[in-house]
Amino acid sequence: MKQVEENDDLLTRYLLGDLSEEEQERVEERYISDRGFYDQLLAAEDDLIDSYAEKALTPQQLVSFEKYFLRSPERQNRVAFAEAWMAYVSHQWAAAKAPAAAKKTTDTKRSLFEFLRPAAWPLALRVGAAALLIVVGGWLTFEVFRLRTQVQRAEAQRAALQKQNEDLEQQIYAEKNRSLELAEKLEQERIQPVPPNQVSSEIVSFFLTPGLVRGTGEAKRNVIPASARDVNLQLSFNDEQYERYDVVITNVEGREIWRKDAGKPQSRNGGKTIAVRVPAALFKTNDYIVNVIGTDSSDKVARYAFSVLRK
Amino acid sequence: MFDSDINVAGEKYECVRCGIVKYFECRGCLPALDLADETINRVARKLGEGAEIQHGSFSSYFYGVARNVFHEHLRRVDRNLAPVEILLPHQHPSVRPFEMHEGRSDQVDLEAKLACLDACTESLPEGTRKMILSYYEGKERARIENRKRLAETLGVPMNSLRIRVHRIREKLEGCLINCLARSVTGLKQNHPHYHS
Repeated sequence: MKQVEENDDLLTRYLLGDLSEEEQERVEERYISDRGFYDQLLAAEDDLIDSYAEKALTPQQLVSFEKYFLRSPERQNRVAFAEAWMAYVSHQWAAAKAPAAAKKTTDTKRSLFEFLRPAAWPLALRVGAAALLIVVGGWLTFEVFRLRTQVQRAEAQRAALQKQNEDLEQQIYAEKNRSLELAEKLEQERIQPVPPNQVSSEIVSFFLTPGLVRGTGEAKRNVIPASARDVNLQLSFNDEQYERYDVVITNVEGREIWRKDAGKPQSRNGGKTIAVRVPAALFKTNDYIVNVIGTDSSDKVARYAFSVLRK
Repeated sequence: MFDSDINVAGEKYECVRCGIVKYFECRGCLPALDLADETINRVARKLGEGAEIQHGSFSSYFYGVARNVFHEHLRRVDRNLAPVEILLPHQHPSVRPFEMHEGRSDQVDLEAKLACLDACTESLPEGTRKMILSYYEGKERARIENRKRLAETLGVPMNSLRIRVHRIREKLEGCLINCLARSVTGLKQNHPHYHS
């Protein structure tokens, strides 16, 4: 092995023209007479050419190679062959490695595509798939129809609710207006004292002062017409003890027939005035006692005698 | 002359002839084959004239004659060297446009060579094809180790493997030259303006 390597080195130097004339002649005489040495020369020449083709020569070898070795056209052709051969071999090995890496991916893709191609399925599988397709298709059609009906129904319900909501809003708006009108009317009545015995078709107002006995005797009774719906009582008194007051109406026997929180009194002419609206139906032709009591107490602040005549 | 057995003598003659051709090639002589034939003819003439060659020194005798032919060749070349200026117009070195175009399209040339090499390699027996491709597998150290394994697998010394590969390369090279020649012939037929 060592001898082969030594011979290779010697032959390489010979091929590059790096030997002395005597050394050259010894090498030449030997390869002409020794077939084995001649073969080794051929192999060394191949290696040298391959090294050049693969750019593996040392700078010194490269100079000798191009100046000395490449003198003959035959050698130039051999170098051209070696360059093409090396390119071919590299291409072959690269191509051999690439498909191995790509094969797995390709196989996976191919198997997937094969699976997706119904023509490649067995007959039983194709029939089963067709049946499944029909069932699923029918179910989907039914579901679509059902959902469409539900949507239409929901749309109708939504429209009805919207209309109902609009009606309610209109009602609320009307009630609010009515409430405002009533509040305004009530406030006006509260502010503007109603003359005694003023009679309206709906409300009858009376102004009462404590201790004043109104309506004793037939002629002095307070007339409440049958058409009256409410009786407005305006009560004056002098008291500062309470913020709020209740109005309690009793009959002459002392039995309470009506009570209401009258709220805060209004100041008027140095005294206090409080107004309550009592349903006219409460009163009959009779005598009543109207009491003003501090809220949450039993302290009677003022007392009024109220004699009624219903007509 | 070489051996009493005509087959062995033939092999020895071929061996010497190859060595002489290689000698002229390595010495940079053109054409090496013609000079090798001139050497063999001279030896044959000498032997015909009754020259005696000692047994076992045939190759040395051939080598001696080859050296004479070589030196004569060198002297002849020196005499025949002439400056370009004195050459006749038809003797001027020239480049044919088509060949120049071919030289510029190296990539196309390489593709043609690769295609031819593919065909040539495919024409080899499967074992031979695998062997030569395996021989060139890998780079540098890996390639050396690979070649050792290949030689072990084949059960031959490394040097024998190299020789085998050389023989296959020679075949492939010849095949490539023929293949490319066929391609050029086809090209010429398809290019009427091409003049060889």
